Amino acid sequence: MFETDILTPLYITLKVAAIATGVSSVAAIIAAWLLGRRQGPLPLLLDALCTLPLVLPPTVLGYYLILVLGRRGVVGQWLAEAGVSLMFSWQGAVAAAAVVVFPLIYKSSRAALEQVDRRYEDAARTLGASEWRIFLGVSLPLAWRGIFAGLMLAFARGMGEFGATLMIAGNIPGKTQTLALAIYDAFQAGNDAQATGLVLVASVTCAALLAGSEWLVRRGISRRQA
Amino acid sequence: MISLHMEKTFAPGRTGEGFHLNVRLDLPSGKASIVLFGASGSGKTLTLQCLAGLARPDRGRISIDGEVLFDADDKIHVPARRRRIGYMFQDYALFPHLTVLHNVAYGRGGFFPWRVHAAERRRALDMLDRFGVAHLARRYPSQLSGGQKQRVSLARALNAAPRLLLLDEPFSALDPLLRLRLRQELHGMLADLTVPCLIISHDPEDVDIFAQRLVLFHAGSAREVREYPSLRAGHASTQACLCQLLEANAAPRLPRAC
Repeated sequence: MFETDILTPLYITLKVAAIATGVSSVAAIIAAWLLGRRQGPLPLLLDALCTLPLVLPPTVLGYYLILVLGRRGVVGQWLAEAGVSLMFSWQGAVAAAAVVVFPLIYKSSRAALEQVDRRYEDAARTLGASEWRIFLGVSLPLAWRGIFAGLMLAFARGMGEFGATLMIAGNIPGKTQTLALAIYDAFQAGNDAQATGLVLVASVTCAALLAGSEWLVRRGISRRQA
Repeated sequence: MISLHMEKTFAPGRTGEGFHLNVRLDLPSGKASIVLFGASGSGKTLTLQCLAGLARPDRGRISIDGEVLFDADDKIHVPARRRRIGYMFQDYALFPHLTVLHNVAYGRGGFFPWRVHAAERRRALDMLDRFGVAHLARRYPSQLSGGQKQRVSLARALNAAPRLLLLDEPFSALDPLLRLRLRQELHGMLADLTVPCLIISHDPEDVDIFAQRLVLFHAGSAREVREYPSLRAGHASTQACLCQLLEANAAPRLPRAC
């Protein structure tokens, strides 16, 4: 009983954070690449928009998401016709986490891509490569350390997502209840043993994740310099 | 005929004064190698970048053998990847995450540079072999010496089959002793090529070895175009020859050492 109550939220948390990070990373890295090399008022505005979820309270994000994805929302109506509802489902939790982690990936990718020496990209251009080929074959591999660090940060942040998730996906045990929600639940119910167990699991998982990613980065460096 | 008629202006910023490039040059595109000579900041590199498509002039027109690469009035700006102009960068700019072989194959490769077709692999190895560095194919650029990097970078540029090769200060990244030896080496390698070369330098020694035609740059414009061997013939030394040319163009701003 005790075992399953801890493992289910952990599984939901990892699933939601991983999918949200994956979905968000594609959009965030491409946005970082596109906006990083354009000047003018529109890119400036878009940059602010991409960073906004970082500073807004998660509940505000949750409210916006309900406006968009809710049953009467712009996208929600359309989804409902297709028989899909994101409200109170784990997919809704993914949407919430994806929006929350987006700026973390966007910001770190942008910084990492801007640090790539322009000369390598210019060299690739004179060798006949298209901008897409340069992005995938030169810029991205040269910036991967910074981007990877951003992804890890995003994953860890996604695991801890609380506010927006609660508003969209609710707090349904076994379905949308992630670790963060389960801890709050257990604490509110006065079930201290359960809360302590969940807190320990969350802490160990996050620590292992950060140590593991650091190890991967170091291994990558030593291999290239060997 | 390489025809460069262009202007580009950089407004004065917080850190530096402004810069105005105003080049009117018509050079024969034969095999003879051309040296662009002038002090740092005289606009040589910017000129080559405009020619290669890495920088965009504000006004003017650039063409090679009648093919227009840039025309401000007609809004033509052929992207660098379609110009088929090889460029050897000052510090060679070899891709640090790719092996020597993958660097050389990049200009002809498929979408991902680390996946090279067997035929392209062979071609790249042949090219490396021409410059005597085929045994380094599996190394990474960080494991190469300065001279080896230069050869690999030349092989990489030529493997993309350019119609014109631009070399930006080919020896500035090397220490002086190595420079002496490599200058001879590169001269030998370039002599075997069928591709015309444009070389940038502020070193008189480079002019003496490479220049068949000399273009003098000063303060953002090309001041003189001369047949170098006949120009040199009238002087006791390279230094004397170039000093006289420089003084005739820009006496007040030259340092006394010359």
